[in-house]
Amino acid sequence: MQEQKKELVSRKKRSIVFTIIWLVGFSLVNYPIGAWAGQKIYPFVLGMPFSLFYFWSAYSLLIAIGIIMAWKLWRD
Amino acid sequence: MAPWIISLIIISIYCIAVILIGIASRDKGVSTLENYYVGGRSIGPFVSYFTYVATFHSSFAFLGAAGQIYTNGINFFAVFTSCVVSPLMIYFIGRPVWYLGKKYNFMTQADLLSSYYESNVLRMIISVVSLIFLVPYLQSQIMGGGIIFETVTGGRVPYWAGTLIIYIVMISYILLGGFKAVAWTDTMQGLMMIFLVWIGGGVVLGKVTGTLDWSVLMNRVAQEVPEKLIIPVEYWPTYMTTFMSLFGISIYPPSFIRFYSVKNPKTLKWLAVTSPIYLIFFYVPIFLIAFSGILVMPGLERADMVLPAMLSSYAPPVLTGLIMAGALAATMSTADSQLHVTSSIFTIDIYKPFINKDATEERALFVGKIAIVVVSAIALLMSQFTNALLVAIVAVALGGCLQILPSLLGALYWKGITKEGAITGIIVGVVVLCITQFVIASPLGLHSGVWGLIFNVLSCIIVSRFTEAPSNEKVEMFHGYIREINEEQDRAKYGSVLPQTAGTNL
Repeated sequence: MQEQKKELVSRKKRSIVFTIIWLVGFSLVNYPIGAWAGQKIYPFVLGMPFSLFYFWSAYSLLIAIGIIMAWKLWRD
Repeated sequence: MAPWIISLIIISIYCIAVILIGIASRDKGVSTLENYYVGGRSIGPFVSYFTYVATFHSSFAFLGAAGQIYTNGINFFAVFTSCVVSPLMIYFIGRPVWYLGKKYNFMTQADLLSSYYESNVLRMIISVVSLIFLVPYLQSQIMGGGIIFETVTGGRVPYWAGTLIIYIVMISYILLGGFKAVAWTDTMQGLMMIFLVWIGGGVVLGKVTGTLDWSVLMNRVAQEVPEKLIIPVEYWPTYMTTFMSLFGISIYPPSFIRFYSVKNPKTLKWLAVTSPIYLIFFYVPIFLIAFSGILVMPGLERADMVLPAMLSSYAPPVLTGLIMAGALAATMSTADSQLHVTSSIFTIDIYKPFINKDATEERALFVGKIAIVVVSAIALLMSQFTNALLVAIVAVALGGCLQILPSLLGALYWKGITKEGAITGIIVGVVVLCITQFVIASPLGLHSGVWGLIFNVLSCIIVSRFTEAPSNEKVEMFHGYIREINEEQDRAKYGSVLPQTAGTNL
């Protein structure tokens, strides 16, 4: 029983950690970090201007965080 | 053969195909309201995925998005936040709605909310607000279809005939198959849209730069129009609030009805986090086409014509025809969902509770089908006239549908919202939305939908503090049932539950 309660408490902790991770990801596409990246054309990365590369990567990361949350945390 | 004839043949084949899908998906036995409006709650993950993304992406994704990138460059990334954040509502709102819908046979928003708050006034308000915002939206999609026909054929099929064709095709398959027809045609349309737009993007890139290596295009854009690759600092307030104005897209009635339709809530969970993959990567080729357009077709009078103009100039006629059929698919996949849900609102929220309480399923279904014909005919007629009021309603449609959010949260999460609070919130929200859209336009740079929501929440909370809470019976029926489900799942997984975690929906 003690073990099971621990599992549930850790679930609550995991919810908080995942929410913080998601918010960090979300902040990457917002002011001020996004505003900094949105001003930089150079260097080119993977053939793209930095700004373009940055936003595609940041949004992809945000999607990936969501998928991990659903997998590891959400019910159903 | 002239390119316009090739395009017309392709679009005709597409129209026949969607009607055939309607025939194939119709109920073989006696149809029920549940089958017709929520697909018998039996839609699997594959079809759910494509019906959601195809409904989300309207003709804006083809024409409007390319035009915005052409004009404002990468400021367009602001829309991406909405594509990632809005679908999360599919889980947080959709999951409890699915369980409640399945248990108590709910099929619309007003159905669920009027039951929780025990108020037919609320049912009527939600229905009327939904219809006010849905019908002009539907009309704008029919207009989009008419423009596509006219553009593709160089005016040989006039605008009015294009809208009429859309009307006939759309009502044919919706009348035949109801939600299943809408969902299956959406699936075909969603697949068509993504494949064709990617092929089109590749072809245009190859023709304009002579290579499929996008760095050549990007280098030219960086040298010739560098301002398209940066986001001006003064744009950030708008950038950061755009997603809030589009937040309503995942709970506006055509999306909401999809919560009821899926076979199990697991589908909703994965839809919430994987649909953004489709929604944002759809725009990769749109970026390529728009950037190419900036280089080779600068100064277009109408920016939203950049995509058809680039395709006509650089893609073979067959591909142009296919992609314009894809644009038509985007229009129809949004319009059919709006039309179908409009019928469900009329039948379930207005006809049955207010006009004919004793109506049989068969009778109600018949009335619902009549509503489809009549409402779409009204939208068709409206599409023949440019009316500033209608354009304005479309501009606030998503913000308007967003005003239902606080009352939904009351029914699903927070017991503190009362019937009077919910009604006041919706009315105040819609009024503030209209004031901040038409009288004092977007104060502090915030979208009118956001202003409406702020005042909605405030008035909802204040009024709820001084009025009677929902009955214990209803609280137990809704909150108690969801808590039970959560506890059951936790018990199955962990063997026990802790009281402080049982009620959370994460």
